[in-house]
Amino acid sequence: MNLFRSNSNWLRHKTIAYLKEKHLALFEPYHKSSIRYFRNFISDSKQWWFVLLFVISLFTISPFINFDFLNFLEISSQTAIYIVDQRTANIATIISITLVVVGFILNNLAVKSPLVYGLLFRKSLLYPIIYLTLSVIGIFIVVSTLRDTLSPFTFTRAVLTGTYLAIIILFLIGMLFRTVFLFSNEKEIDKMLEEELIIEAKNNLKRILIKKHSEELFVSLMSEKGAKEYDWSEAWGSVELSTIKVKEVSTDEIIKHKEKVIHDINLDCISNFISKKKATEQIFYRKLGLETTTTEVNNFVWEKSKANTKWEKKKLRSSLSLKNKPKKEKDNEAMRKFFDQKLEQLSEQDKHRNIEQHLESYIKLYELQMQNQK
Amino acid sequence: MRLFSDITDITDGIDSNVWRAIDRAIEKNSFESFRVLKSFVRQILQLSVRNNSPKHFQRYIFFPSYFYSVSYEKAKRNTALSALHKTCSEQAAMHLKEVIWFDIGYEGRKHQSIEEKKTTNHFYYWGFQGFSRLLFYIVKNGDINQFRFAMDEYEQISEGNYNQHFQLKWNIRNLERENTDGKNDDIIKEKKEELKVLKEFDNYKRHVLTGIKYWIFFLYQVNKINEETASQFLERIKIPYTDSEDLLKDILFFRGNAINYYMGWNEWDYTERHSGKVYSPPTPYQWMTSGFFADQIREKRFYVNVNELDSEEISQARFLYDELKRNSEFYETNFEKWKILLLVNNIEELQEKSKEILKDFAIVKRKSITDTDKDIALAPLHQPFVANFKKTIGDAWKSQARIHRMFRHFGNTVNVNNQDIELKHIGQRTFFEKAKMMFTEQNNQMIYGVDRMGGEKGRWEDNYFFSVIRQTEFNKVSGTNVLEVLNEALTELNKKQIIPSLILVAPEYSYKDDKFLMSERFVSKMKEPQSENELAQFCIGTYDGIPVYTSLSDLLNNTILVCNFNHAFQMLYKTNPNWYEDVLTVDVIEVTDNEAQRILEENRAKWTTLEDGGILTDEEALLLIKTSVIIDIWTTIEFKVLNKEAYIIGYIKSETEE
Repeated sequence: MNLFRSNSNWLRHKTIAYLKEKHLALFEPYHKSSIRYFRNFISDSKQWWFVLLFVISLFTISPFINFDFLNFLEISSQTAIYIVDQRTANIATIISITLVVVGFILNNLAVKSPLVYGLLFRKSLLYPIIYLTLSVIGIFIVVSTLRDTLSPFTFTRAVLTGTYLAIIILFLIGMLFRTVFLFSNEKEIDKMLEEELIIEAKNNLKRILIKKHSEELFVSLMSEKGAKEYDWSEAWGSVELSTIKVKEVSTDEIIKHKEKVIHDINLDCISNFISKKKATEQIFYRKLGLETTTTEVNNFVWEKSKANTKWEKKKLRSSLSLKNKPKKEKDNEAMRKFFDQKLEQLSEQDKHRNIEQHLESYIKLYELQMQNQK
Repeated sequence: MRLFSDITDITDGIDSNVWRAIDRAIEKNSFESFRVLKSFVRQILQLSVRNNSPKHFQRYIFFPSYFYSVSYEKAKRNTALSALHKTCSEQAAMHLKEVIWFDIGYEGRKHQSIEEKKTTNHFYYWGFQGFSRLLFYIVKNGDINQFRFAMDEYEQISEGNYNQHFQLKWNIRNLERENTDGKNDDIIKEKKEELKVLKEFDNYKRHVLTGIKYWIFFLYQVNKINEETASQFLERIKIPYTDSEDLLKDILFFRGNAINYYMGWNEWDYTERHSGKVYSPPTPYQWMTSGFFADQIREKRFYVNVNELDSEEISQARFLYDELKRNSEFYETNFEKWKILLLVNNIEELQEKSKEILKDFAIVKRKSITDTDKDIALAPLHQPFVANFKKTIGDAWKSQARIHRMFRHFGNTVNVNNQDIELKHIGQRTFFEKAKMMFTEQNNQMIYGVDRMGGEKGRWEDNYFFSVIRQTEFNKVSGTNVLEVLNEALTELNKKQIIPSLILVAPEYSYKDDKFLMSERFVSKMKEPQSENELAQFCIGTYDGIPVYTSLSDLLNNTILVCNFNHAFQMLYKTNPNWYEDVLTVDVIEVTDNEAQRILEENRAKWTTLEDGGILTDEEALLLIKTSVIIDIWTTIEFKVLNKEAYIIGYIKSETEE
């Protein structure tokens, strides 16, 4: 869907293009951001199914693919039957040692706080590695059970795939150790935390700017089209008390107006809508912007003292792309809160060197804010 | 601290966390933590100036005054903290000084356009407000030692580009002088706008001092400080008035609407208020006015020229008169309490002074045009009075134009009467409202303090001299005290084999700097009378045998000039037998019909509206205008630098940490 919206008819595309021009420092290059996105996705504890599916599919397609460079190993089906149990045992041993070591290091973490644990899990890819290992063991168990059922070729291929995966797991565990060891060093942790703080701040700032500039763009388009922002002063005098009728609104109708988050706005649609109206009276609008929560999704442009028809409302609704309001708000300020608490602790303990370093991160935040607030 | 969070700012709330940390560092008597946090505050202030973010600047600029105040409170309860409190208070004044002087000044100098200067002024305003808050806390605590220290720091603050501002002022005066037919009206207006922007720095700097001074009077009035402390504080405050019109502008400004939020004065209160009770804190509007009156009696420095005021200000001025009158009655009834602070010996003296001040302000209370006014408007100027006036102005000029007299004394001057050279006119053409009565035979009345107009021109000459010698590339040295700077300057000159013949310092050094006064190389004129010459009056002694003179120019603050006067500079001048002592033009000119008409057109509302709302006819207004005179006062000179190696300017900077 996003692909269809990357043209200047759409507000998000326009806003982002504008921001990229003015605040380039807030944006990472595309490849970096996609790698980060993937890492964050995969290291989430909920993504076990993704790893499992990945491993299963590898095993499934193994009989059908044929890479020449992987074929230098000649394994007969006998050998395969012989080594399959060994491999399972090997991986099980490795993973158990790994878990012990990691557990030990976790116990001796330099900075113990849920946030740092979270960071460690994410940085070291602990979850995906464990999931990968467990999936491989599981499938090995299945494969070894099926040794008489599967055809010798399929079986051999499965064992071979498992073996390669086991080797990859070894590498991954090596990497895991390397990253986890970093966490016994407070300085390294501070460095990583600062990095995270800045990333978080950049994202927050980006969100603030997107909201602000999208509103500005929206308003400038509207005023270009001759529409005027509606405010209460407009209502003065235009309403005669006798004409006000209380309309009963059914519960269904209230439910229909659920809060939605505006993801994108089709500017072209709206400007066409206004042009086609051929209004004789002043046209009013309510200000909209990206990432804002609103209930008014089909009635934000109208002609003075003239209600929109159903068809018009439909058109207006279709010019917006909406998201549901997330049930649980993501904490966008976790790192800031952590830093604030840390400062409190440090000043309580009177550790001036740490305070100094800590304040440097704040200075970076200030620089970021000051340079990008306009 | 703020009550509302700002969701569009990712740094929101850091300031209050940092403040808590500072509080804790002081509580724990931790110098190191305090140092770290304090430099953070400074860094943020610098960053916000550099990135033009007033929002963040405002959040942090009051921190220094809080260091002071909080550490004072804590040290009172726990004497172990007194050393840290001392550091906090010194750092507070020092940091504020540096923020205004260096941080904002440095960025400000990069900006030249008027719009950009306005932005810089915005930062200056908040910077000065920060300092103002610090002084408020210091006075609240009756902390006279700290006050002296803070004032020392404060007086060092300068904008650094006084020249530009000076040139512009001079430019305007010149345009006004030539503006007999109104051809320069537009450009004068434009330049005045520009000058207004350039003057803001001086205004803020002066207003902080005025504010705290008047506040001290007020605290004494409500018995919050005793007489001794109050007079100690007052003695230490010196308000630099370069232009007499500033004083009038100031008091009118203090009584205007803007004052309610200006410099945070509305938040000043002298007592802890109990919650739940209705009270109104002291209003700046009131205490500023009574402080102004007390200060006028104490310092005596006024003459009024209401020409510069616009009609809004004029209407303010009319209320001012009534208010001042109430004040004068107040001081008279409470004479015993006030006599020491007001520096008056007996009630007669107080009454005399009050009367003079009130008389000045009565001018702006325009009731209606009277027969006396008509007589004055039509009468010719009485020449003996004019001659007398010329002499008064001339004498006042002479007493202040110190540089001019030095040139005459040392003889490095050239009379260029016969040459076709354009020289500068240092001085002003003044349209002096209601002043014709000084020069008419009947209805003659003196205006108090007009001689100051002459003295002022003398100081301008000195200012001009200092601005000229700083325009070209010049040699400079700097140090942390007078002795250090002097010695360095002398060594430098020695290296170039130049024999210094003169040292110039600000008059404060004749009593302020003990190190200098006690130095063996300095011989005060009290100890060893100098040969009597016409410069003796402003010579304070000799240093290494070189005479040390003083000048009243503001540009000499915290600087020293060491030079071989004859080799370094030259003065070109023109003479005319009609001028005072052949050099100072003093002319009193009647307002012609045409001119009166032009002035009326310029600001009709001002001239035709009466205090009670009545309207004058055009003829009446013209008559009223003609009770004014035009006074020209200027010298025709030019200063030249002959040899830039023959002089050195030394800068005295207090020690700074960073």
